[in-house]
Amino acid sequence: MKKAAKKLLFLVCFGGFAYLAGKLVQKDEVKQKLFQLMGEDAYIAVQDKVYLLGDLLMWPVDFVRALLP
Amino acid sequence: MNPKYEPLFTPFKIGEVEIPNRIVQCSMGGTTLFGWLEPSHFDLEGADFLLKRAKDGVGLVLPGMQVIRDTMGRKWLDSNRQMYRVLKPYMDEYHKTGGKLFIQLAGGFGRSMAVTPWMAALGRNDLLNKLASPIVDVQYACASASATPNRWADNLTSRPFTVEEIQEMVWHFGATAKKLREAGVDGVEIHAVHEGYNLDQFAIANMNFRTDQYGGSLENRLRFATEIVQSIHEQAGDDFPVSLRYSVRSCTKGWRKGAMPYEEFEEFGRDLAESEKAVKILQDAGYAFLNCDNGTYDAWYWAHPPQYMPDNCNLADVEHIRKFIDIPVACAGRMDPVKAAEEIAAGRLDAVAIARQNLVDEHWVTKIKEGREDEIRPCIRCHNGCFNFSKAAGTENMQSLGDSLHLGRCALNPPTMQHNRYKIVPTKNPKKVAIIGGGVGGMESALVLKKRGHNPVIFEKTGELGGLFLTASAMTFKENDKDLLRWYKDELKRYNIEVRFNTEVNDLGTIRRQFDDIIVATGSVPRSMPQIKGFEKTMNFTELLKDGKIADENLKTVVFLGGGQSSCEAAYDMVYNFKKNPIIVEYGNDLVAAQATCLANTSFLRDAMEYHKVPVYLHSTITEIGDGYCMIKTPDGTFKQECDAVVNGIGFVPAPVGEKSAHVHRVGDCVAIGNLRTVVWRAWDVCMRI
Repeated sequence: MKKAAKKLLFLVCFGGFAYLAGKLVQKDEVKQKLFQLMGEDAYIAVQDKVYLLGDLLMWPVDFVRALLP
Repeated sequence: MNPKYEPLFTPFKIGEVEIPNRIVQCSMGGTTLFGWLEPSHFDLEGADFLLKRAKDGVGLVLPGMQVIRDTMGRKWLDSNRQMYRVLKPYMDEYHKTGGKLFIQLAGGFGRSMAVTPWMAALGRNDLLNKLASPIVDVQYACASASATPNRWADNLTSRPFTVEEIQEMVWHFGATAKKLREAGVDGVEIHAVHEGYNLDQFAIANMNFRTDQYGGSLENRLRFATEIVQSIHEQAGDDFPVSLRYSVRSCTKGWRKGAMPYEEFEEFGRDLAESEKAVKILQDAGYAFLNCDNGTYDAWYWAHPPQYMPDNCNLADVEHIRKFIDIPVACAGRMDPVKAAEEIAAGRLDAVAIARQNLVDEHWVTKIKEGREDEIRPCIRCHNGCFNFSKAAGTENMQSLGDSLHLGRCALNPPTMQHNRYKIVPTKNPKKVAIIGGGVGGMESALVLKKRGHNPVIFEKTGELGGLFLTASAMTFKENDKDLLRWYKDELKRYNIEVRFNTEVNDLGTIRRQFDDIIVATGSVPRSMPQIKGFEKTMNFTELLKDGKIADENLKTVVFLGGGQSSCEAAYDMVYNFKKNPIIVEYGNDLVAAQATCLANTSFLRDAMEYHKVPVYLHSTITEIGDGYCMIKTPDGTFKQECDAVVNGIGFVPAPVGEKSAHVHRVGDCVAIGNLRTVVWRAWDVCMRI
């Protein structure tokens, strides 16, 4: 039980962290900083991959949402 | 507003629905309200784009085609109740603009389905297709009237639809239309007895070999389309207007063979005589509007005309069939708004259907209304961002996955259909930025920076802006390219951007101290192949096109080394406009075999070379260039070809200046050789972060 609670807490924390990180990198100031840190080529390449991944992740989400009453 | 546009801004009616003006935004794949090929959902990006179009003043907006059954997930469009609940308030908001919106419902692709390699593999294998069918059923997605060859993949044949499948689809058209009407949508457009899509494959005798009620006579071949409109009227009401996307003529010579605009040929698809009867049958069945053009996927450049096609290329045919019916008719296909206004005023046309101009300039209607038409950014018909399905001999659809998921974007206007990714955010830290190079990359960078509040200065080594695009736009038929250059120059003046002409910068150190950031946009130089004996005698494209040697009377026979887009375009200009003798030598197995170039553009060039009997040597190269001759090595041997010049068409290599650093950035072909889309989008990617 204790183990399960720990796992749940970890998942909640991880989910929260991922959500906050996602929100943070959407800010223009953060994008600008990442651009400077990563260099333009790496930043643009990663950005393309992130958008593509986001598109693909939406497929199952849309599929399930369409099943909702 | 200039009075010549006034006829465009008069209302007209489709059934009982009044459209506030004659401007119809033609449907473009990807600009959908319910997603493109993915599981249907209310698509926020599409919704934002379409609402902006209505706010700009488009009278009737047709969102991108919506297949009646999802390609991915295979759910019927009428089954997603949540989607229609979101649609209702959207339509309320939409109607505040005064515009009208018809949803385009599609009966599928049939043999025109632009299958990628993995889809073709599924479609060819019954077992794999069956296993994948809960997610994607390629054989269903490619099903057609009859067993016909796929346009894109060799050895892939469509299976015929069963009568039960047809009738199931017909019912769902009606059910979907009913839900759309309840959500406030003004009408629907059926896609399509047009462009060789599924319903067109039923309608064309050479693509429909059925012996049941859906094959044989013209009435039978149009039965699928007529049953759809009847099902919609039964379920959504008789007064719910139904438009039909319709191709007057197929302009098709055979499987995968189109006809040139000036060619006399035997029609493989629907000819004008059959079209005269067809439109009457469709009107009598209940269609209230015909949204017309020409072509099929086999003659794709009629429906998606590139720059090589003439303006208003479908207008004469559309006006001809209008005489046989009473319902309003729109014409699409490189329509010039001024010509359209004249035709509407003369009573020969009811509306003008315009697609791609809506992607490249989101304010073009407003600019016309305000008499600022010189400020409209022109579409150059490149299809690089909106529609870059590509194919060469032996390949399937070569489009990248990212592009497959996002049609309807724009090479010249990155915020189109990606408004959250590309946007002008004012800077809090204005900088002085030097831009080295006044080509398209440099000019676009300057505009983005200026709009954000920076202070860009362009250093151009010549006395003219445009860079290599001056060469590309020099061809006779590239009026849109020339207009784009004019637009860039005007925009730079309008934004008061400083340009220092005849100033070559070879050492960034000389300007480093005067500027906070530097953008290098120095473009590319022709690739060299010194291993070919006499290569130094080759002529480059700038000499041929921009410097005008193409018109030189002494230049009659020209051999192009390389069969890419530039070579084929120059060869077309040479043979069609200058009546000269080009010859193309290509190392690969096809002409213009580039992943990012749309089949509508490349198939025109390939068909044109064949029509004009331009000698094309594939799997071949040039081994020696001498005075008045070259040696061409083909799989059958080497021979001497007499010629007046050999043009270097083997491509370009990046030519950057200086080293990159935190404050030195690169944009355009000096990064990697691409096209206008890669140049313009990278300019935004970089300049949004400075």
